[in-house]
Amino acid sequence: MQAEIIKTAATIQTINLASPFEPGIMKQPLQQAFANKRQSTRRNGKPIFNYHYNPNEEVDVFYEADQVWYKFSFVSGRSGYDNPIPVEQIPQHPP
Amino acid sequence: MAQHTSPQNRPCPFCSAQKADSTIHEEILCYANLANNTQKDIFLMNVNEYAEDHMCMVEQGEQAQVLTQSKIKKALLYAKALGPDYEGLFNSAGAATVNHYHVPFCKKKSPVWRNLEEQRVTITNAQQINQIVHGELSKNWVRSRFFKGKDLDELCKQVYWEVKDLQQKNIIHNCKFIYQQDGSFVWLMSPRLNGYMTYVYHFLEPVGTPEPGLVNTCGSIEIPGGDAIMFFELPDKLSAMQKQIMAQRFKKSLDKTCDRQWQPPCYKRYLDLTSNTSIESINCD
Repeated sequence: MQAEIIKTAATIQTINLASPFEPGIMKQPLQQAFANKRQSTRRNGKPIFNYHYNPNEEVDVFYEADQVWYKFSFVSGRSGYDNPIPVEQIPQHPP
Repeated sequence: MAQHTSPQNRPCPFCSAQKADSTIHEEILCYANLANNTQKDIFLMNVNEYAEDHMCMVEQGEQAQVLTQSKIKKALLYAKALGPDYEGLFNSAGAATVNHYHVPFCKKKSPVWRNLEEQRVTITNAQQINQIVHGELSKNWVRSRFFKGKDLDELCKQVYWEVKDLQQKNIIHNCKFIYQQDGSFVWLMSPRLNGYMTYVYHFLEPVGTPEPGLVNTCGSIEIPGGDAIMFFELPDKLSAMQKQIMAQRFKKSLDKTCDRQWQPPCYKRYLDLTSNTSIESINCD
């Protein structure tokens, strides 16, 4: 079965997943949607993305003590809270 | 049980996305629905992306950030629809920023998958029930329950068997999941003590710098993936020693937030179930 892609210039596409469907069937339309968004702007003319993912800002670290890999992604352009929260004030349970 | 709430007294962004005149509506990549669903789900791009193809599946209406068996199945079906290059994650209420049901997806790059493939992290206490392997990731990793199998419905039942226990005990949990080339699904789930956000600037500070008693969103740690998201620029120089210090401090942060006391509910009771019995009705005391 194939996913049905409904696409018009004015509306957002809809992917209807029939059952069973082919693995990875959403990959191409979603990647295309990402590409379209990168080239388009908001109604007010501003870019949609605040900043872009950059694989060059990822650092894979092999932690020798435990013999495992960790990953550190550095994402500039996104600021933190101005007022940090003391650890003891962090809720211990879901709201 | 957690309810749908708006974050920090702001309008819920995922409810706003459903309104055609909202700014967030412009961030919709597509709608999607599964064959047996009557309501379309929204796939939103993350405008503050910190991963490749960083997007978020959002259910329409006011839905709490709470897993059910059918929501687990839907998440895994979307993982299959995206293919084995992608991973999904779920942060329960208390760890998620927004308490409206949402499931982020991105390209599969979390180091936990590499560690499993290279057998640097193994499965301990493994059992197989109804063709589903479950156990725990080895202790050189953050505590995480592991489920793997090709029978989607059975896998969802077994995952939900444990999720429901976490929900009843108000234990925050983070999940990562993938669909694999061989047709199997893998679900990882980490119980947490709190929604601890670490002060990640500390990862880069020199040896001997006291650990700060403050947290903020200058970064985030993703469990059980093993990703640290640092909301600042990559320093020009990161020595090999500094990388090891980063990893050591990251490991400590992961350990601080994970719950090693929680015991999964008994599977003997699970095995007592028949296909006509709802697991909602079983108490594992």
